[in-house]
Amino acid sequence: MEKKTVVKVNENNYETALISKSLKQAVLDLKIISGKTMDLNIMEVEISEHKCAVVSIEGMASTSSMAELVFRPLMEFDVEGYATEDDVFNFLTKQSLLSAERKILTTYGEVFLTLFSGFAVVFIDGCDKCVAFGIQGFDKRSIEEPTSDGNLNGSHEGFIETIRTNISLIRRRLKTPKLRFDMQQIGSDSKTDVCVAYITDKAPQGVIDKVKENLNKINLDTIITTGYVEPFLQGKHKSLFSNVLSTDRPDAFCAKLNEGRVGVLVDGVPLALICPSLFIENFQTIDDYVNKPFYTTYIRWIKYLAFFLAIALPGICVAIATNHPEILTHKFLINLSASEEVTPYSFFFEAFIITIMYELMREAGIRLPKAIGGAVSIVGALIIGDAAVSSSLVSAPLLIIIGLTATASFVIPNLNPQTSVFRMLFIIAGGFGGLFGVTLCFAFMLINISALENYGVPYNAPLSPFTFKAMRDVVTRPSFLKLGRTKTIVEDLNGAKKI
Amino acid sequence: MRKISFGQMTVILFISRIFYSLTFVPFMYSDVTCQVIGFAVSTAIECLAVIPVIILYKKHPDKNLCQIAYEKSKLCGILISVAFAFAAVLIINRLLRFFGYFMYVTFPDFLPSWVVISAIAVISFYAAFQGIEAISRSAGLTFAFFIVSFVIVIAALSTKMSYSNVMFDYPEISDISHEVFNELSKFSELLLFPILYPYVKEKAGKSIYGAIALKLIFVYIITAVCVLTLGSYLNISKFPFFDLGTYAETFIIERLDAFLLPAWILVAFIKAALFMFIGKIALSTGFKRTKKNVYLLILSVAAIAASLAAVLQEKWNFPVWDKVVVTILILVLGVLLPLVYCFGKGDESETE
Amino acid sequence: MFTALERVMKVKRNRIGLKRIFVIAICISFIFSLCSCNSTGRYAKRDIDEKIIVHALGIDITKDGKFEVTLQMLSQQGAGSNTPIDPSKPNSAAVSQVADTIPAAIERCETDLGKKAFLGHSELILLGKSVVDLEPVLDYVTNAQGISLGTFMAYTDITAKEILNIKITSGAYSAEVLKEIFEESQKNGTSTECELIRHIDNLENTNGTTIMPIIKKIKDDKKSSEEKENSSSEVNFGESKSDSSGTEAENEKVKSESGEESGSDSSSKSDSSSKSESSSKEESSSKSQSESGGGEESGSGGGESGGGSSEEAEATAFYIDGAVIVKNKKPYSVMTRDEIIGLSFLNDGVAEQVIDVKLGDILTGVTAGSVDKNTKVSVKNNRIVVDIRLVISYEFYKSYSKKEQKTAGEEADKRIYNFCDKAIKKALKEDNADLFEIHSLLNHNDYKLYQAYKKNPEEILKKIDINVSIDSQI
Repeated sequence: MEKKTVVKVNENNYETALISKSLKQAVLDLKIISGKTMDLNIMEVEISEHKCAVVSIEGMASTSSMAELVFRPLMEFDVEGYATEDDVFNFLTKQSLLSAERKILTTYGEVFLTLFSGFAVVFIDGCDKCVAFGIQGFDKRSIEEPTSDGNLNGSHEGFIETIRTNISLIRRRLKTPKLRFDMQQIGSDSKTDVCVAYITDKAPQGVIDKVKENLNKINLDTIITTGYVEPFLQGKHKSLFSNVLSTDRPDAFCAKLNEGRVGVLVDGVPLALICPSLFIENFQTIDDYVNKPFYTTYIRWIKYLAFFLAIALPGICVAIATNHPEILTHKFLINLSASEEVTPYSFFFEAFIITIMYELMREAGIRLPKAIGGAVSIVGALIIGDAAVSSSLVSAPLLIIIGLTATASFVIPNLNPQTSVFRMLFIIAGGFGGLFGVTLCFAFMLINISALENYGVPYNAPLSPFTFKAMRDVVTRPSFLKLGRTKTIVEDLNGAKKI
Repeated sequence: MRKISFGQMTVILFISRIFYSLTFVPFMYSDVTCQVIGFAVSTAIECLAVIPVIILYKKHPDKNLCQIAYEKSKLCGILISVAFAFAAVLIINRLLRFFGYFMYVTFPDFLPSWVVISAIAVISFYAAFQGIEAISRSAGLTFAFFIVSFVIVIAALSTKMSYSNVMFDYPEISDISHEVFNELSKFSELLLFPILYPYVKEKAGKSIYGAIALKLIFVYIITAVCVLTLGSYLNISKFPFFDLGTYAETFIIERLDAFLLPAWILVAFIKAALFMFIGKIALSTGFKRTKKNVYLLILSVAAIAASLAAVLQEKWNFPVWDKVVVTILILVLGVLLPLVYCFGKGDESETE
Repeated sequence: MFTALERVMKVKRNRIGLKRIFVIAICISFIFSLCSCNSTGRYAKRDIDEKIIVHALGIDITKDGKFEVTLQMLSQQGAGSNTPIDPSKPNSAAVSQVADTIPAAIERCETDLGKKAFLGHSELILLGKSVVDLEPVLDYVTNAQGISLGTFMAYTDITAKEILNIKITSGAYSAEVLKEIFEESQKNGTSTECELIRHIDNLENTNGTTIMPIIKKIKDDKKSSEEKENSSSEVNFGESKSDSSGTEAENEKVKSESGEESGSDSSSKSDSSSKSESSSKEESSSKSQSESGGGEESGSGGGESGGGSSEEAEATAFYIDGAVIVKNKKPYSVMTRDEIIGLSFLNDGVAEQVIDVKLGDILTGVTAGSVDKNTKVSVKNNRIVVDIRLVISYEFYKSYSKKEQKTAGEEADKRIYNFCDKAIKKALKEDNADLFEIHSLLNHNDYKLYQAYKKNPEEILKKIDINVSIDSQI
């Protein structure tokens, strides 16, 4: 009998191995499995003449909580007469309120998962089960304002790296029992918590099932960022655009859940994914729903214009200057011609070089420490802004065009990868093929966007296929009086019903 | 099967139809009165010509013409599929050559014609590869872009229109019949519809009538604007609508001709993609192969090769037999065959 | 990072398929052939600074019957590094070349400058007095790549080369001033519509008749102003209508009548001289101001003369005076300024024209503008009667009483009637030219007459009487 319980466990087979009844053996097993890692704390104590061990991971469990919520009640445990190991176990699991989160574990796999999640695990000699208490106390970033998706009038809370805090941020905003969080561990090594969030009566069941199915398909060892999960959620289609939106704002996330989308939270990343997402959503911010509709409508159109400028302006300018100067007004043309007269390179090549320089500086500005980051802008302003023009390397009108393009691209940060690449494609197409090339490039982009569909929702809905009801929140921004009455959910956007 | 909406179907049929009206309005060969009557008569004939296909659609909403034919007789199905593919290749070839000619005339030293044709064909291939839903969504946005360009050009020309430019003439019957034949030879949508209607969610029949109505409205607007603005210059203009662009002026853009170019290209590539797609569907129905994109590749290569062979010699002739063959194919595949399958004996036995 | 990601995603990339290699090879070869097309040969791309932006195209015929083409183009005078063009300086230069055909002459100009001519922005096609046959000109401009249908086409009473060599210092370039003069003249009725498309339309539609304004340069000395008053009657384009071989004689006649030097030898190049002139021009900035031309003038481009030669120093600006009736693509006769005003009132309407009227002893101005026009066509006694009723509004000085306004209005009516009458007499009766859209009137009102007109326009035009009545709105 005894022989049966003694199982030689190691780091490869521990996951399903049952916990040893003997405390000595259990502790030994723990040491073998973890390879005597230095952050494994094992504290052996005696409770009512029974040997026990409290195991935790250094830095993951709060020492003060452990003292207050585990050690003190255990020390105060007293029964009249002889207490068996089951009495101790029952005390820990049923008669005491040591911690809000309490789990009964039977395998070493469960033990290590809970330990690495910040739990303290109590082993009792003679008992083949152990109890885990949630006393997480690892250091985490406090809730801060989101860095990427800034707003003026909305909430200033952003997601942080801890998934449970993020869940609480969402739950606080949607106090409905219909909001569900389905947690699962993904990554054969990392066992990262990935949580699927949705509102039951709003999100189509087909979309929920498909998201879960896609998550189950992930066969990676580790999940470090959302980028590891995203390709699986996007589906098979090879598109330059992404139909999975990522946000670091809990308020925006809740708004999307309310529209029937399904959210995915990944532990360790201050971002949440929303699927399916639409192309047009890249232009919508939470501020849009705070400001007056007239202003939002105006700003939205500015953003649409910004996207067009960010993608196509340099390409179109190159196309026009090189191939179709008749389009320009005469005075503009002669000014441009006069400016170009002194520059050594063609307009196309100048545009190409300046765009590369801009991308270099943008990348340098992001990667450099903030303290030095400012230097990049000084260098950019000095080199490109002044020296390049005064030394006649590039013409001033071109510099204005690229400057305008760069500013426009800042307005829609979500689409930055696409705008950067397409900008360069448009410049090359415009240089070689004029407006013909630019249009073909545009056609390629159009098809690329149009072909993108996931979870039954076309990426360029509600523009095409045209959905009048949803278009009101694209062309304008209706007031909440109307928006509340005729709300558009994902099922209205053609297709989700099919799943 | 994936579905597109009634509106999307209307738009793709319209976009396909409007290409020739934009590119090649042959005022050089007939006068305005003749054209106006010709448009009305040809539209009426078109409306009648689609009736057999619509009846076929009502009977078999989920099967295209090739499928119906294949089910009745395997050999017939294969022959009809090949005929559809041949028609598609012919129409794409004509379209590419027209577009090459258009670019050659309007922007002669811009790009070699073979580059223009190859580039359009490659993008169309990509669109056809992505399927009918991608094409229809792109067509929706192209339609919006086309309308915007159209309105801008008309607005820019509003001060330059004059009623005194309109000259009426008593039309000759022979001229009108020539005009009607001309218009009918452009009605290649009659080949698109029997293959594409299973993709439409509902009201497919109305979509083709919608496209015809839209076409008529636009053709009349184009004619009116051309006549009111250009006057007798129409007699020497090869591409009147495009010439409107050279004349139109706004405070931002000096000339709108190059501005109109994108609308042309988008319309052309959508039309080419549609015919590549129906060719692929027709062949895959007839030959039952799982890798349908092989057919798409074969079709595209055939159409490009035929176009390039003509274009590389810079021979920009559009022979009448070309037009006649296309018209015959349209009538046979778009009218006659649906009529046979609607009222044929085999069909009756099936319904019984 | 990404390769690591791909590795962990277990993406099998052990063998690159033949299909992919094939696609990549096609793409690369396509790009290479595109690059080679873009760099050499017919399709070689030229940057914007490698093109001559032609503002105006001048066409003259030399004594030996060849075409002399003058291209007026940008020659920017920089004001500083940030403002490449200084509008206070003349920013144009001209280059001329002679050849058997217009495209050949343009090609020679291109060779001289080492750049390709870009005609897409040419705002004016100016025909010298010596151009007596428009056939080759129209043939070129309708087929030439890039020339806009909205380009203005006009005649000059001297050579186009002379006009285009004048350097004006107001505005960014000279042709801009010329275009503004045309536009302003069209508004006040002293010039007819002169866009290329209208000429083509008229020549196709009417009895082969169109009308082109005449552009002249203002002289600085008194002699020139005297000359100007009579210029429209003196310059007789009509003489050339008899035969084209009279070109040389015609040129000689104009020279002797106007008493001016021919300016330049028709076959000589002026590009080199114009370039040297532009450099010396800034020093000779103390030239006379543009002459207003009194009440006679329709519009004038202001500024100082920029020429280094004695002739260019004389010229200060341009104005439009009269127009040439072109019939069967040949200049036929000349209409005076008054006749053109009448024609404008009868045809397109006039936005604003100051009419001189006598109010007692005082000569004052009344601003007249067309409001409406009604036309009726009827046949009476085998004559075709066209009744034109013009509705014209007047604006007076505020100080005028109602009675004075009425009197002035009546006076103005008479004067406008006179203008119209002159126009009808000249165009219809003398020259038998369809300048009153008669073809369109007949087409819209009486189809039988229109068919008769199509067969024999001259005959029908002879049978036409135009009655004008004026309703004034004060």
